[in-house]
Amino acid sequence: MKFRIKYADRIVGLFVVLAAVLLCVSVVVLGGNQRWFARNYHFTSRFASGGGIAPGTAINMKGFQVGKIERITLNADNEVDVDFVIYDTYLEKAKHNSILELVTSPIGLGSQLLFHPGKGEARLEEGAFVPTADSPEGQALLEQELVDIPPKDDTITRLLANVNPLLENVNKTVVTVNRTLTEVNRALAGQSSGPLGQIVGDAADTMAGVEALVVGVKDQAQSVVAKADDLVSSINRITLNLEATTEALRDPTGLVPKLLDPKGSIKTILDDKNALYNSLIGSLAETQKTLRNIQSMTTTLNAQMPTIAATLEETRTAIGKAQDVLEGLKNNPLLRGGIPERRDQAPVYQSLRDAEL
Amino acid sequence: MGDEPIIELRGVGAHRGGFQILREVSFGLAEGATTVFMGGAGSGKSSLLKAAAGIVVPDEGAVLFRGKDLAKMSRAEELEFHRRSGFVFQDAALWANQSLFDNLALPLRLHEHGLSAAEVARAVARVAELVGYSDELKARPSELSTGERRLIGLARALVLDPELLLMDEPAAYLDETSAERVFEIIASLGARRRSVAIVSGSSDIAHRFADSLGVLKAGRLLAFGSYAEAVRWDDPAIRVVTGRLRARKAPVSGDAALSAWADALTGSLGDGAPSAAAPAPARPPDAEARERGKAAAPPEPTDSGGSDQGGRAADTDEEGR
Amino acid sequence: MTLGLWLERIGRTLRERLYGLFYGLGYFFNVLKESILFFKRRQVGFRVLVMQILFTGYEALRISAVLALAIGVAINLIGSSLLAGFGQGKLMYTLLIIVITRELGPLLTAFIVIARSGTAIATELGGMVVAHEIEAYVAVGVNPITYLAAPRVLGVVISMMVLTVYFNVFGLFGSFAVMQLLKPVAFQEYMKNLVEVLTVGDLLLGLVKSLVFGVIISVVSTYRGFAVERSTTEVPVAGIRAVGTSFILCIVADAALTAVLYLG
Repeated sequence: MKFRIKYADRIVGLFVVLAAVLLCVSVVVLGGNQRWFARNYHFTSRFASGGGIAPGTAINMKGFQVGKIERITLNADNEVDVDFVIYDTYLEKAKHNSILELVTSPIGLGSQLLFHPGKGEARLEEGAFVPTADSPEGQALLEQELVDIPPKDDTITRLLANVNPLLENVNKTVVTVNRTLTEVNRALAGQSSGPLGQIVGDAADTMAGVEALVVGVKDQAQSVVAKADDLVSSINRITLNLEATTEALRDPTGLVPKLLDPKGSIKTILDDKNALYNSLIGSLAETQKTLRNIQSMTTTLNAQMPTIAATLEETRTAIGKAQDVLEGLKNNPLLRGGIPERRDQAPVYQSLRDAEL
Repeated sequence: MGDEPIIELRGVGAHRGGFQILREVSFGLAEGATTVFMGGAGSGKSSLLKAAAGIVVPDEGAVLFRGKDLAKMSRAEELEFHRRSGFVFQDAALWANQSLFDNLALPLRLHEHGLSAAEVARAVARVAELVGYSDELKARPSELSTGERRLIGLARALVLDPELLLMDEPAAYLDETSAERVFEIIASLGARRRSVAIVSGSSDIAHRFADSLGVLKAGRLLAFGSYAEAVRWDDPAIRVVTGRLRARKAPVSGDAALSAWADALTGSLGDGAPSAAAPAPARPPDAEARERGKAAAPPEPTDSGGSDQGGRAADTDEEGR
Repeated sequence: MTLGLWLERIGRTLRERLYGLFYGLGYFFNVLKESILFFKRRQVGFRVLVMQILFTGYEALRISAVLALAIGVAINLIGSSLLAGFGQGKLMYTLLIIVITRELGPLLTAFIVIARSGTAIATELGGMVVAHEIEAYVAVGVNPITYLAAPRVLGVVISMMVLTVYFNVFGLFGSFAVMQLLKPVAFQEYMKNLVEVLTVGDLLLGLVKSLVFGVIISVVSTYRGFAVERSTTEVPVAGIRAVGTSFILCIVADAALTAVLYLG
């Protein structure tokens, strides 16, 4: 007691001074990290839209932040003028013919502003204009291969690049299948045809296989990386199957035309510039493409599992719809059996998360 | 100064916890006079004294120190008022977390910036000696008996040699010797033309010291007048409080020891002249009180700094809880 | 008649409440003024300030450190297992900053200080009022706000801010040290990620919060202490009230500051 009281002044002094020193040191360290003492070099650019860019948005190059946006303004031509800075440590990357590229995720994962240095030797002067990748100047630079644009190497960018067309494909499939369904409904109203049911039944079986596969993918999703190889081979087999079917459908002298009754209402469809069959073929081809994409995507499953799971789920839905159509055709002509009630299954990514927890 | 009272209350009223503790109290204390206020328990006599000292702020009316309203004083004037007045609390009210030395030294440090630590230590030692306390000053108030604490409380009020001393029951809790010592101090203050206001339930004190007398009941000043007048008051309500007041024979005598102390103090507070100039105390006239020896004021130790209290005893401070 | 009485009662209550509010505000500004002028006034006790920091700050360091360590380790564990499972391991650093630097650090420090020093200040001052020590200060010419309240306010405010700094140190680095025993991470990696997320603004917000909490705790506690009137039984009540009021005001202030930050 006596001891502590006697040295109260010293203890308190040390206590307070040490805290002050710690605080000052951290402010200096953080200030340095936040580039309080570093110089920034200003440049300008012009975007078609201000969406996805805001003051403070980081400008990245190969995963490093090399600068940030300072100010954006909507100019008289309804374009967006952008003032941005490049940090002094990365200034030598800012060569002539550099461009900016805004990569936006279509599924709401945000956006990324990338800086691609030009292949020129000379450094950009401060205040220079840097075009965006989608502007005519930028396109020109890209076509002339004056820009050092890397293969989309960082995970997010690669993912964005992959997911985008994949989703578009899925979307196309669904649209095609829907259109087919509408046409089938219109054409088959109250009519009968045995052979069509037959052939479509075959197709439906194939599709059921696809469906089973996707369900399988879903089941395996928990250990999806470990089973990626199995999955890929299954998908390959199915893809081959589908290819065969597609070929069969396409062959004018093969099994398919024989099975089709040239009379009756189906003929109407066939006569109608083969609308139904074109649709079917198109739709199956799309599915095939989708599955190929799935195959290529499985390599990135580990890192981006939730996103991939969502994609798989979408694919499953699309294929499911296709199967419904074919099932409907099989049950036809009067569509008496109707389109079967689909038992909804829990989305893949949910079970994934459960597994993680 | 002239006839102007040193302290004057004008229509003072005060509340506390929903009760009216003072109602329309008006009086003036003459410069250099000793006034005794009497009243039963809860009559508001302590509150009256605190109002006069600026401790209790009145809800109505005004308290004037030499014609100046306490409520309207600047901070500097207020400090000057507190420097010139001393208050002796009934329960001593020493600062429990400071040593006795610091209790006595604080008013000096507050008001006499020019004093060195050694001078403060000397002044403290002298005033402690004056009230008859000669033990260790490093002790905390809690280590003292109630009576001793009261003596230190008195010493704290006296340390700046105030012109106005307000005392709440000065003799309560004191043994006979100490009480007598206190009475001597009161008497000598009167002799030195210091103004003293005493609140007491004892008619003995009134008889010994009162130049004028006030009687309180339920927060009201029932009567106020000179002692000579008071002897003739025959209102039963007043007589219940004052008891039988006897006419006074002899004038009150002062204490030479106090005079000597005060001179020494004035010396040390003033131009810093060495207090060796202080005259040796004369034998007190009231020899009876001295017989028990302890209270006798020894010859002033010149400023040899006998007590080494100067080194701020605050190292034992436990403030800040 | 009854109505008249009622009205009178309502009126009186309102008047008293308003008076109480104005008195409280007046007290607040007076204390603040005296605290700011503290170092200019030579008469006042620097010693009280030192002892206040010793008690409120230094002696509370151990509890504060244990708390910060425990929370830091918990967040580290979550970060290294749960969040990493989502591929969001880096979120841990954001979580650390939010919890330790910005939100919980200052508030938990405030709670420690309320529990230790808030009660102590209120009961000590309350005891002094009952023992007439405050009146004795006034009688001598010492302003109790200058001499008693200001050093306590300053002591608590300084202690709060200093404790918050140490809370950060223990929460961010102490927990790292403990984690080395459980799940080692390279220090450079840890530092790099932390510094990437931590901004000076975060530190400042934590400090501003601790400053506000310190003012609240000390002003409320001294106010409650001085509010004791004469009986010793009021003293513990003053302590309890100091804790209650400080808690509520600190939480409200925390919410307000956070809201200002996130909305503004």
